[in-house]
Amino acid sequence: MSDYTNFNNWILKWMDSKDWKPQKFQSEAWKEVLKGQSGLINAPTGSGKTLSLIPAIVWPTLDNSKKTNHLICLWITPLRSLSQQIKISIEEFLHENNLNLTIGVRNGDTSTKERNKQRNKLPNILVTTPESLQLIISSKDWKKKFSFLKTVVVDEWHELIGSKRGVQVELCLAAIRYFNSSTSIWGISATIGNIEQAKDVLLGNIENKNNGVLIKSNIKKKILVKSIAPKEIKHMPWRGHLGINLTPQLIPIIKKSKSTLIFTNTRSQCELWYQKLLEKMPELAGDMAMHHGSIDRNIRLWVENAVRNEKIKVVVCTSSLDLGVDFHPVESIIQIGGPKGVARFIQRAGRSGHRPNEVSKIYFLPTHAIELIESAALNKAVKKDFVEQRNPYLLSFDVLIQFLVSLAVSDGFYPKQTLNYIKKTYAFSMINNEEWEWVLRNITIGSQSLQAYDEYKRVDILENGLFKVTSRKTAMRHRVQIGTIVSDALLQLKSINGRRLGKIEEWFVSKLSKGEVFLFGGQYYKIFQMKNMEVIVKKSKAKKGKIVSWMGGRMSFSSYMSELLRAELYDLNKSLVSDPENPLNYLTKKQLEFSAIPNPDEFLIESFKTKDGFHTIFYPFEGRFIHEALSHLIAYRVSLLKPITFSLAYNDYGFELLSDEFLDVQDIIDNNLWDDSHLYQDLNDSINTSEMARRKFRDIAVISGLVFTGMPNKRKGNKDLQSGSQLLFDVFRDYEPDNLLYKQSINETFEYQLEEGRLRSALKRINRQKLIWKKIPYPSPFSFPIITDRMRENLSSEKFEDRVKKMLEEYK
Amino acid sequence: MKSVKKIIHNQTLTFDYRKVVFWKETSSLILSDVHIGKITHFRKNGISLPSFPALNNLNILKSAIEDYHPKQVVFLGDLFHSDYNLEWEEWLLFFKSSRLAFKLIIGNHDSINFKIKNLDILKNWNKSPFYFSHYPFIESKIFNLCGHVHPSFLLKGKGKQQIKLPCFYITRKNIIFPAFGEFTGTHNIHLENNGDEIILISKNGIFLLDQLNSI
Repeated sequence: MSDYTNFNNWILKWMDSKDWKPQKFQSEAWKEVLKGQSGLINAPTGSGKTLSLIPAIVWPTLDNSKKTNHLICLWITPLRSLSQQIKISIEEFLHENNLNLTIGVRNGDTSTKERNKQRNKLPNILVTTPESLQLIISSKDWKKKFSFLKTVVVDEWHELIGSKRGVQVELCLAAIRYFNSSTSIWGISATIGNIEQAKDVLLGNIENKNNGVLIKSNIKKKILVKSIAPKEIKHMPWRGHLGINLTPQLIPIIKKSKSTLIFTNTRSQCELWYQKLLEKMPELAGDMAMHHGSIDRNIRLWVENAVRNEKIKVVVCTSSLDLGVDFHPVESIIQIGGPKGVARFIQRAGRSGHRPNEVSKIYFLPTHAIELIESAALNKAVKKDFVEQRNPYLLSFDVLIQFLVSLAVSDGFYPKQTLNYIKKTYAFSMINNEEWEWVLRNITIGSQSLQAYDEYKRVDILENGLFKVTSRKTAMRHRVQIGTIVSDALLQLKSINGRRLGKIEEWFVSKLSKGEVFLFGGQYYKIFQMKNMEVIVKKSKAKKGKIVSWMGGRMSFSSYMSELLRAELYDLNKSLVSDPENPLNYLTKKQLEFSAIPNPDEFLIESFKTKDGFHTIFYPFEGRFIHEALSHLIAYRVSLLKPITFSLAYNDYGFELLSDEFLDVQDIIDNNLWDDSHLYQDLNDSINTSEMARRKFRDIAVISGLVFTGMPNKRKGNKDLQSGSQLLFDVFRDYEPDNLLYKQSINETFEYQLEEGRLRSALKRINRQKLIWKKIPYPSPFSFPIITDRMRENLSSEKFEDRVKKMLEEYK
Repeated sequence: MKSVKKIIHNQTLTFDYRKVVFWKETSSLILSDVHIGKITHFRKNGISLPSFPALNNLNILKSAIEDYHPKQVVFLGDLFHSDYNLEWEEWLLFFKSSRLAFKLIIGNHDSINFKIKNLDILKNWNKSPFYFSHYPFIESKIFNLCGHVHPSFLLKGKGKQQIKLPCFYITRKNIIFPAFGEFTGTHNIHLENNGDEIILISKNGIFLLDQLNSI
């Protein structure tokens, strides 16, 4: 192992010069990389993970005879904002070691000029995103570009594995490895519950390589959670998620910290908090910035740099800053509203005290009274050092279709050979021949075609059996659509002098009229003009206006978080006696006034009447997603007993069935409502028409190319090809229910949203619990956040005509 | 209820659940926004919609013709979704072989660059007491029959219930027709004036929503 000794001498010399010592996991990783092994490194952000790979990757190029003009390393990051930083830190290393390697960034923010340069010649090290990688694969001669590739690094793999972007990465890696088997693959991941599986998913089925190595760093972060609640819980609202009234509580923290990151859960909340902080602390003007995914990239980049250079003190942000942007100086982290999961919370906490052995401190600000319970739960979770799993997607046909068309757009593909390596991915190791044939039919003849006059055109089969896109229009359209992150139709927001401000969703704009004022990026704007896909605005001096909102998916409690929350809740009754100082006692008393707080062996249901109708609230405390499913399941089972129509609402604590008639809970409970047999069938019947499946289908339709979201800046010309995914969903349900993409939407609902196993165990638990049914005169504190939710769904077993007639009566 | 008869400007109009209106005095069957060829247009561009729904539209129209025996059929625009594709063929054949007269008020989607046998293409049509157009034309003093909007109405009931249904929207100045074609989408309308009427359409019948003073 003289090569390793040489390497060691070289790297240690450099580290010595900086007064650094290699950590154990770094030395281990270097050794494996030099061997040509593949694997996964489990290390937290800020622990020197970049350095655990880069020296060993570039080592062979030190040998002059191996000097290269080619791409040797691909570095994939999930977030564009990370690319820049990775590049800088690699550059620093290369520079200090006098290495003459070129490094470049390629992502959605890369300029056309730079991209054209890269088309001719890629740098030695390319930092990119999964989407941009697939774009490279959809360009001509991609195999040649990768023929000298030695290593692919997938950074922050934990962020990708639980999403379809993970599947996209798996497919790209399989293709790269098939055509260049000497490429090794390395992942870097923070701790997740299923780290072993994360490694297997990343590496897929690699032959003769004993499935790679898992290298764990033993760096543990100490985290301190401080909850910022008002002295008197009385002053807290019972519902809402903004928490604005608590602004004064933040002021002392901001004042005493050199720098503060404030995490919010949604972009609108981010906007609002920025505005309110500025009102309360005008001295922050110029020292505070906002960062969220819809703000224009130049502004975002500026903010990131400004934090790094300590030019600003405060950033109000969303998950757009969740990942490892390495801001050394951040002193205080504030989380506004429940973070929904322990892993996310820990990661955010990790943004402070960014050096090994330093304590990370995070302030948690509950936005309504019940979130106080979450705060207590989080505190325990952090101490227990346990984090959630992130489950990989399997058989995502939408992603496969997008990938295959990408191949067909570039050099074309041969099905047999392609299936060979697609089967090596974790996601598609189980694909059967029928499914494969269906996918091929879908891209060539449009799944099924019974009509003689059909003119379906996407991928052609050439005479030599090559699957290839021959139409330039199809190829162009495909390229602009690559990616698996689906957002609503986006409009470009521009100021009147032409400056780009960011992007805004079409549905929000459609609610505004000319002259109306709204808040975006911390500034009030007046709508001046809307044309094509652009919204032109003028700054406004107004002090009030609509807050921009985005549809972005709502998050749900993880199962672990739910468990913690239930434990906390069951303690409320006790703490009333044992801990008279507990701020939650006020909430407990209010809830106990008319209703109850369940013990571990009890299940609470509340009934009351308001002007909206008759409310029945169930409290499983299992997280929003499970409640969405349970509400459908229970509503469906009740509706089998008698003709009735429900409006459903749910949050992380429970769900509501709202009807126009009283629901006798005792009556329905006796009918095995919580039985977990026939679960699949009942769910299938109830979610078939539900928003859940439709929501999943929306993404599937966009990813697989069924919905065309348009060319940038040229969308007007494609209006004849645009249609809502809702409409498509209905067409498939009515005319082609065995379509794999349609079926996938139902399957995804089961597996990823409902986590069928989790649902089953929730039902089993409820079945064992004793039912407490409270008929109460007013809504209880627990019920407030649920009944005021405006996102609702319907489920009905009444005859359609009868329902319409009943509703028409209301208009008389 | 499958249909309802209304007297408007002394003319007898029958509103049918198949999204057509029969005008007795001139023996005309009126409908709007069929969007022929939409599915095939999508498929032609690599979007793999099921191709069956394309067949349905013509059968529904034929059944309405059988019931009302009109002398002519008037389309209020967007008969075709985009430029020619093979899905048009059975319609062209139908026009050619039918003894009825067909009129098309041209809409924003219709891009027809050849002559279609037995289909009279007009920009607008003035047939007293009505004025036919694709876009709503409310400035007109003459009562206007039009399409383009694809109107639907969101019914709201007790217990926060909602149902969306396509509809005919009848005001003092015009009638906006629902889109006849399957797979065309709808646009929710709001009642603007007292006395406006809405005829809601479900798969099997119609519902009247008048006396809307309370909303």
